[in-house]
Amino acid sequence: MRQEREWPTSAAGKGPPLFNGKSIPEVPILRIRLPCTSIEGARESASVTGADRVTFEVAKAKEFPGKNYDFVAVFDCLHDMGDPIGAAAHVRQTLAKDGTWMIVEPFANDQLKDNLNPVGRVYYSFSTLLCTPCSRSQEVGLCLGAQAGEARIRDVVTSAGFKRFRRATEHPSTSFTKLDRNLVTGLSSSVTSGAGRIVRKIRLRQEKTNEPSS
Amino acid sequence: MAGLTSGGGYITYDETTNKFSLSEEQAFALADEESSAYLPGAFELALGSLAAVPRDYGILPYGNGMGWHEHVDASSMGVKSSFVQVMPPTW
Repeated sequence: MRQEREWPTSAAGKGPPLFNGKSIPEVPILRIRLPCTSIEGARESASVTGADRVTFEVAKAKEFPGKNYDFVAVFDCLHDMGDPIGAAAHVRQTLAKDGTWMIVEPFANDQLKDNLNPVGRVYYSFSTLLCTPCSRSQEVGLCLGAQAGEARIRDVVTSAGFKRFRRATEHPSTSFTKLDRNLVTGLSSSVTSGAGRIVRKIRLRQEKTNEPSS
Repeated sequence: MAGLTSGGGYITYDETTNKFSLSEEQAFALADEESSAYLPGAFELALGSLAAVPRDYGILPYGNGMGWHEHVDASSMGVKSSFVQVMPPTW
């Protein structure tokens, strides 16, 4: 049963995969990226590291293929999208009933005055040169920017129909947000210390789900 | 070059031996790709994003955009280097 499931992950930009072959969970993974010439490089990198369970597809965030995913992850790219609400709605439609979406976004506070620090300075600069022009180049062009903050990200995903939203953990420059497809879930407030732990819990829950009922 | 980087505090100069070295903290931030504070990826990203500035002059004032995939490779590789260092160690 588990072998039939896939985890899509996506990232804007180009470059090799973020995972190394040894740390990839033992389930099939579908990685989706923006159209770019280096997708071949990513495939090559995956084969070199032995990540033969990873396949790469090029697709728009609102159109990626597949259904009933247990886990969808977007790494530092939701704010770059022109239509993040449309993308979020598509993620919701493709998640399994008890699936989870993990959003990794740059760390930011909700108020501008609270981002006027060295981290905010760096991110606002990159946001001006990279993130908001990228969003502007696509349909809708919402331009969340790299300092959107939790409240705006929450607005985006709840507008798309998600009911439950929680910041799972954070790093001085990045925050990890977890969303569940439905209100009922096996993942609870105990998930606080890292995305890796989220993955392990999902796998444990999945294994429990697959056990024959007594 | 060594004088430039030591003047900026990126490396350490010992006047008694006339040698340059990296302190533990400098190595942590500048030389250890596995450290949680590895900075060169951010520098690479900065240079990559600045390469687009001439084009930005003709884009941003008019509300137009530029996709990530249209930037030079340094931008994406810089993100990759920066990103790996923030991933939890269990990944």
